[in-house]
Amino acid sequence: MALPPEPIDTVLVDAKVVVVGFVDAILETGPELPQRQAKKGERDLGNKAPWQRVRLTVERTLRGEAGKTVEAFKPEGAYIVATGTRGAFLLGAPEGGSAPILGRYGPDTWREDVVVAAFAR
Amino acid sequence: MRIQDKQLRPIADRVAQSTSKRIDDALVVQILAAVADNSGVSFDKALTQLNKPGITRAEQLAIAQAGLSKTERKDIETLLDLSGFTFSQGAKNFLEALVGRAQLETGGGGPLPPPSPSGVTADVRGITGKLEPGMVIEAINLSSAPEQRLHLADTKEIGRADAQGRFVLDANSVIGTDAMKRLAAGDVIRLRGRRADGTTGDWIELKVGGRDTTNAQFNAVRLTLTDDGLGKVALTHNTGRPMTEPGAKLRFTNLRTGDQLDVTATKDGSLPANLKIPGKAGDQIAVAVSDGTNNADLKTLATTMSVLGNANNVDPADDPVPHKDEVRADGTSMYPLRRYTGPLFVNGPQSSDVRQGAIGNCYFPAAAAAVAHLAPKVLEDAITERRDAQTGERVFDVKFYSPSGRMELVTVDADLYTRSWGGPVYGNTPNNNDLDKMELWYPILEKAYAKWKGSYDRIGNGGSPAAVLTALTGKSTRYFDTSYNSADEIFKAVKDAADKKLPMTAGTHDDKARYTNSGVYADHAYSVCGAEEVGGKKFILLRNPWGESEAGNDGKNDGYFKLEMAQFLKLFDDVSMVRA
Repeated sequence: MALPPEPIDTVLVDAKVVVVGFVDAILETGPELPQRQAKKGERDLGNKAPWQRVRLTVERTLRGEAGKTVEAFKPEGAYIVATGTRGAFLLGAPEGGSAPILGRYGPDTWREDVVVAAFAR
Repeated sequence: MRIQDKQLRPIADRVAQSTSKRIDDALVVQILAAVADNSGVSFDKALTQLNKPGITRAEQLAIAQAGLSKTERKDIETLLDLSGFTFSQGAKNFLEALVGRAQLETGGGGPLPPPSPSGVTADVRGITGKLEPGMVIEAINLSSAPEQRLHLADTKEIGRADAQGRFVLDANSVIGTDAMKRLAAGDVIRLRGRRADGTTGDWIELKVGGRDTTNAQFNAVRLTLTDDGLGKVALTHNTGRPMTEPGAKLRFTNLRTGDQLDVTATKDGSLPANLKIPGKAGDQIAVAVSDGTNNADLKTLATTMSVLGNANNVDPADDPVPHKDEVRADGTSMYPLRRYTGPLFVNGPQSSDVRQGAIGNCYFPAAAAAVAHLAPKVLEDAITERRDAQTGERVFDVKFYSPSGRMELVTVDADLYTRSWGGPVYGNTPNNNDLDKMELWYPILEKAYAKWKGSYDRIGNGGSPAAVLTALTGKSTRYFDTSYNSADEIFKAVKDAADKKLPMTAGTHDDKARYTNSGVYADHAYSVCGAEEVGGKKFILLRNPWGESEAGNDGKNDGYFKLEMAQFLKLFDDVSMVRA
């Protein structure tokens, strides 16, 4: 669903680690989800893409501690990542070895400069 | 019936053979002439005297009485009592005065009122009949009028009676304006005569002869269905223009309850007063229409209409229920209502005033911002502010148009669901640092739309931006599919529409992988702000209704951006634009 991004301040409080980097591998992908078919011209149907377990290559760490790579979990939602997808990843507390990627659109939720500016406030 | 006078007999025979069997004002003058000829003047001379401009009814009666014989008196009494004919009021009074049964109604002593056309026949080849010599014939097609912007007095001059009072008008000379858009078999035509001094006779109506294959029209825009708050839906003809053909049969069916109401349209193509059918706001009412020949079983529907809340009987303080994601298990809202006091407009509506809230309705702010960008006057006219007559509270009347073009008025107050830490949960505006000064037009517009549709949940799970463009402007839209239309076609259409100030939206595909890292989002609607060519490259100008998050990085993060045509065609699925 093409909802606006959450206000960044409401998400940053849950971000244990924030890194700038890119997806270097898709480790696992969840099952396809039922899709609502659009009538002509309809938008904002709210169809979700499946969850993904991915490996991130870390270029910079903005908050917390992270190694050169991080295993992350993209939940079911309004976006999908591919190898090479990059940006600022806000990561929540790890569950089952993978840290959930926060933000409605993952690394496309807020640009890196917006994240940095939020830290500065 | 036996008419003895040799001048009266053929007149009576013609009436007896006519379909109307009616003696009207024009024909009664011939009867007076037939009576007057006994006084030493010929029928033709008497007719000329009786039609002399400025002659009064009393003078006409005197001419006839001068020649009235016993035989003619008896003949006139036979016409009145035994013929079975019908009479216009003026004609009957003339004949009754002639035989001494009534005082002549002189109408203030003025001249005889202009006659109505008589002996009129019409078919698809033309219209013929009789009238006073030299009179102009005015006409209107009552069957095609419901689809035109016409009042019933908006007639067309279709011809003039000749020196003998005859008119023979072929179809080509009759057809040509909205009032006489066509001359089809079965159409109801209304005619009257007009003298040079502007006085007009009574209307007559007749059906165009031939095989009738054209059903009566029904203009849903001219009907308003409102919940009366007492379990009934009132059906109101909301304009002076005709809604359907005179005498048409209409059937209204409440699709929820099954209740039916059969009605015959009035002679003016309207509905009888005080019509009601069981139902309530939100019900769907199916409408079927028949001219008595076509769709006689009323099985084919003309349209289906919604019963909507009405500004007159729905409390402005009734707020639309939140989206289901913001409703607790007990049905209460997670967010309180807050009364906003800011101005309705600050420097008029602008696209930058619009910010989508936490609800899946991107199609609505995208369309609203598109209208604000190219046709802000539409929004200024659509939203008006006033004080409620009963409570004195500040309320807003908001106009929307149904898909059939019917205007609906929704009234809301300035209470908006609000987060404890910030502004409105739903439709918002970027300049909301001081909530008491926040510009209100967009959140009010969205609230009214939610109320019109039933709730924020009803509008918050996807929809069509084109439908919103229609709801706001009252106009239909054109649709361009980027798979089928070329880059040049789309660029030109967008540029032309922007030049003509026709609001536009564009939508992305639901293929999410296509959008990662693009700055454009899947399954999302955008406002189209225009098109431009720079350095030989063509661009489409866009705005994200979030008021942020755009392709590229111009340092503003305000939602506005532009895409070169190739990229636009790759990322966008369609463009909708309001028709001129």
